[in-house]
Amino acid sequence: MCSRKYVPSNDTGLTRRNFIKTTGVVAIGTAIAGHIPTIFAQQKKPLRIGASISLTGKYARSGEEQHKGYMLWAKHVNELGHSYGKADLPNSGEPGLLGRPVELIVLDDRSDPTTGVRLYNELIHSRQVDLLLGPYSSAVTNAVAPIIENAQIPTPNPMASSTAIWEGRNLQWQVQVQPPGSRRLPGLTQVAMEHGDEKIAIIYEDSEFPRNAAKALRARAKEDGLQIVLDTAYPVKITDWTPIVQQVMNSGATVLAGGGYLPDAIGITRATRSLGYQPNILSLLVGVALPDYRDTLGKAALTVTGDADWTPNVNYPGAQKYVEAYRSEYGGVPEYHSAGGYGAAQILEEAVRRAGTVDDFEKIRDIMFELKTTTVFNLYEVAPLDSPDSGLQLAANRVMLQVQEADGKLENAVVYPDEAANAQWIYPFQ
Amino acid sequence: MMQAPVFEARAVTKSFASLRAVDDCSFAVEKGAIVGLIGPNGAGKTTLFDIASGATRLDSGQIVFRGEDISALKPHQRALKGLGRTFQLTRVFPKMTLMENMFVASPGDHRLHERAREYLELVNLVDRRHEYASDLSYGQQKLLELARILMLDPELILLDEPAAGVNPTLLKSLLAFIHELRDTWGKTFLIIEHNMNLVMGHCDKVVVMSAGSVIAEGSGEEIQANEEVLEAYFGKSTHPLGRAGHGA
Amino acid sequence: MDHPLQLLANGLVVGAIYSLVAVGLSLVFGVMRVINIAHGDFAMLGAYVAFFAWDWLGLSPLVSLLPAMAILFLFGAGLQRLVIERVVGRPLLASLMLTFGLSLIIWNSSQVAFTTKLRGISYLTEPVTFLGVTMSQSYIVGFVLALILTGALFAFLKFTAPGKAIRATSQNQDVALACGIDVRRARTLAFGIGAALAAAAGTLISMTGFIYPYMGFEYLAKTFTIVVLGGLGSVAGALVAAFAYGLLESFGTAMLSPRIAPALPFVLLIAIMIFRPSGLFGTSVADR
Repeated sequence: MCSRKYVPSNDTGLTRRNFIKTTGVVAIGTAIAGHIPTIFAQQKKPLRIGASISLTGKYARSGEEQHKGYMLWAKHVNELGHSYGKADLPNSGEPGLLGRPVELIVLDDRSDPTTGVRLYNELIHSRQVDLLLGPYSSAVTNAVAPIIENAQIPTPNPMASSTAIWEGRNLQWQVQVQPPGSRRLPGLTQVAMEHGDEKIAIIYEDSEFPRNAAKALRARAKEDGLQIVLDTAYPVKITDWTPIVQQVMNSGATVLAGGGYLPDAIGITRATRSLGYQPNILSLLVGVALPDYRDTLGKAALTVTGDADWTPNVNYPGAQKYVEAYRSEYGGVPEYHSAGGYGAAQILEEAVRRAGTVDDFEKIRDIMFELKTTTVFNLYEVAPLDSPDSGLQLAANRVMLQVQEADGKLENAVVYPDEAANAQWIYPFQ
Repeated sequence: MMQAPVFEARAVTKSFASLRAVDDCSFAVEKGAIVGLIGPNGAGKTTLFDIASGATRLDSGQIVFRGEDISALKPHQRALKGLGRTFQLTRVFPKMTLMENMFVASPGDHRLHERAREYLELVNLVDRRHEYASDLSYGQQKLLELARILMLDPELILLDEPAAGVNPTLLKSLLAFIHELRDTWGKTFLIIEHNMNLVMGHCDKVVVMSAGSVIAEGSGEEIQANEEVLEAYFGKSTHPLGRAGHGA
Repeated sequence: MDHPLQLLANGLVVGAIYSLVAVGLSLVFGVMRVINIAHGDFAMLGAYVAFFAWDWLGLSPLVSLLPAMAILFLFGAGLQRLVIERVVGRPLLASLMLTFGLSLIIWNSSQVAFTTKLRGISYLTEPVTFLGVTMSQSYIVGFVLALILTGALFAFLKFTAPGKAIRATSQNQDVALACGIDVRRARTLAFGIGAALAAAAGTLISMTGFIYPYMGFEYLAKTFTIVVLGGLGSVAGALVAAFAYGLLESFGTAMLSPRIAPALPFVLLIAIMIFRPSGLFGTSVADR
């Protein structure tokens, strides 16, 4: 188990395919290290930062994006001595982190929490990496949390929106970077109240994530004094949303919120348009943020609102430079997973550079928990070490998007909160 | 009277797994004849019909129809060449009207409309021509089946147990119909039948099969006197007519 | 119950689209006793033909409907000739395995070719109102087209020679053969027609809903229930059951709950299995 040099063999459970992936990833890491002037490579030992990410399996698409965020961060740190938006921190003089070139060691957990556990053990004990970054998804993050607690290595987690990982567990070494899942559709109830809307309908797919989102929405609607005139789950496998939207229409609601994933968002919008239903606000989970939504619906998508962890037009420090760097490195527009990866690595970077050391884990950890900052991804502040929910994200917020038309093109304008907004919330829904 | 054969089975052989259902079977059916094909259960009569109509492929031998080897033809091609058949359990298209049933064989040709009516009239079903075939009695379905075959203008008609399950009155009209078709239209018939009175009373020639082979061939009287036939049916003691006389 | 007319209209529109998929599935089963698991995938392929015709060439789905049907007709007929024909007359399991495998191949290749991205055509989305019923034009056009196509299928089966050959083959293959019908050609034709109708449904779905490579299976699950409800092999039964299915979904959601509504067709299915095991329009073995 403790051989110094890593030899892939069957008893570690690595398949040939994963071996190729892994070596490929290591090769990328090496390539990044290759950008550093030779002098540094010779003078300073590389700083090895490990993570497992879902590069195959059901989370592959998102995991890959997160990986790109990590790689881009390592590249910037190695070239500039800091990531975008973090130039003013202490210890940014020489390329690398505290002058040491960053080398990423990324393994593929195949979207499987059990594999994630094995890989973090391997990273910590066999490969003896210097620092860690979190995996992709709430499921894997939750599974590896005890390993990281045991090893006592400060770790920021980019893509775990589940609050249950932190709530009441008093974690000492891990922080949440993504906005918690309970804060969905920000500004919905506030904007509704401001305009005098009284009746809201909440419809949602009958599965884990939409149920939780609906629960949070329900609580906020009650808190803000909206009357919930319809509150109903619908089954996962439906292909026609017309009957449900018909019911919403009959209920007299002027605000319709909910849905589930992309298909739900498209289906509910289509049904709303088809029935000629005119609520004042139509606000849907997940789908609205994705380009597929606008591509599929065209103008039928106009003035529909939905939320996102992040969008490429946010104005956090360094965000626009990041989007540009992503475009030139990988092509296309980054999704929130890659910004989250970059942002989480920035938290690690900031904690290390403020601590001025990579070896004193306690010092890095304390700074990481006390930090109030902004990344290219979002705001950052977590519950303090001595609280029951320690490490839970407090500051990060989703943004509310609205499909608007600009220069004949459909795009997602940020309409809430005001600090992030680049356009006015068009009210009512048209 | 009897002319050149319109149909010939030549050394036809067919096995299912280890069972030799039809074994080196040869006989001929002359034009304008009504030929009876008899034999105990499992003698291979229906298999021979299936081979003749093409529903079953033979292993070796030949089926010759109007002087042409049709062994390689598909069932529908044989039907179109003028070889019609009915089935042991009567088969009509239940969810089609009588007229539609008639036109399945040659749909769309309106000149045939009169012919279809004429055939239905022959079997006394013309008044019910717009009813569904499933509404007919079993015996009437048999008549419809026979009338439908005529639409193909077949030279030879294979009838598989035409008398089974038909009441005496209908049987009488069925037999009258067969004779009329033979006498005025010159059709040829090969009939599988267990009703010995029918076979002996109406067939010009009788072919007897047993265990896949033809064991006798000849007129009704010749067959009734044939020792081998008696043995095949009942062992040595009883005469087939002795039994058939009580039945049907 | 509010707006019964609207609920009725919603149910009928959805039912009409289901019926396009269902009649083909039932037709194919009737003619060759094959349960075609890949039938829903034909709808998916048709939907993508329409989508790309719209995306690349700017063709309205109403225009690309015919080429989509033609392409899928040829695809279906070719598939039947080359592959499906080999399992006709074999045990049901053989054809189930075969078509299941075909479905996997079609679905996975489509996923590679088209990606998992959801797509749709925004066409005629404006709603119109009549008799208090509001509906987008695409739904109305879809409904009318579905009715026309199903009507055309019935006319074809009832009045044309190849249509009668298909019906005869479906009711009794042996007799059809004895009547001089080329049943193999009838089977190929029926399979192609089934695929073409599914493609039409896919085209309409691309206009009224959204499409993705996996959609075929979800529509298959519904239409299979419909076909069993209507009586396996009965085209008329499939049509009636498709509308029943759409109406149950629509009224069930409004009068009971969205969670219960999808179960209603299955309640009906169980009832029918108990009281009329051969389905609404099915013929039991004894009738044959």
